[in-house]
Amino acid sequence: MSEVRAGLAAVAPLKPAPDRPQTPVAELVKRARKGEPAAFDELVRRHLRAAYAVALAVLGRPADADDVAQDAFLVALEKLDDCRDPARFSGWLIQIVRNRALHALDKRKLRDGSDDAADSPSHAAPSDVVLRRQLLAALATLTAVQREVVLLHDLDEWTHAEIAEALGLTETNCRQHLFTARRALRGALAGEPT
Amino acid sequence: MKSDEDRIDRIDRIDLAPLDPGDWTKKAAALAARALEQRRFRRAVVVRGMTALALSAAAALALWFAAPAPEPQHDQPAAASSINMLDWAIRTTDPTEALRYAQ
Repeated sequence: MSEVRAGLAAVAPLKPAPDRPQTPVAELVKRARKGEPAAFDELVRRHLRAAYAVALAVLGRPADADDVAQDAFLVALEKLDDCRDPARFSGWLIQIVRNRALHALDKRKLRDGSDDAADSPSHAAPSDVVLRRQLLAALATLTAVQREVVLLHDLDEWTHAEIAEALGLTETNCRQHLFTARRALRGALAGEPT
Repeated sequence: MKSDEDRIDRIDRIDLAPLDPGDWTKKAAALAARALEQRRFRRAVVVRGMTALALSAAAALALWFAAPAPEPQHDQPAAASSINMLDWAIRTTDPTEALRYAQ
């Protein structure tokens, strides 16, 4: 019996299912508007990685994406009173992040592009740096929507329903994007021609 | 059915961990604190600005009401003559008569 249990434990996902929010986002937004620190904290904790994922989908450089995500989040929280439908905070935030990322991308295009190696964290192991480069190169072969979907799903573990609502897609569409994106990513990582 | 699909999707996920800078808890806490600080600062500026505006409006009104009322001016020959000149235009006053009065 204990072996069966051990076997079950072994097939259990390494990463536990993401803790889905207990308090509805709309409620958090309303409380944050009143200036409640805990609500601010919770909103940021829930959405910062998604903001990063969307920024990364646009910019393709983790360090830039991190900066833009944080800047965009600050702007969003400053303009929290402008969020007309608090229940759709995620979509509203993602739109802000995407706009700012596109703006940053335009600025970057005007500047001389720096080497991607400079974007790698100094503490990263060489194998990680290589893998990171491969992943970024593979992501670059996808469309913008595919990148957003696959990053939100596989990096931040959003559900299809959440992604569909935030990106204004249907769930079926979202699944199709994820399927295509994964196939293309696997192909690119395996060195297949795209 | 959908939950099954979601489960399969999760199992089938691509490991994007190398792209994850991590440290999210710390970053989120710092960002939330910064956002809250900015919001408080902006609120304080607005409140102080409104107070300053209200105070200056009140002071302006007080000065307005406290100022002595202008005394009625009796000697206004220019005005009188202009009225007489206008008389020529709108009444049956003889223009030469009006000119003589103005001089």
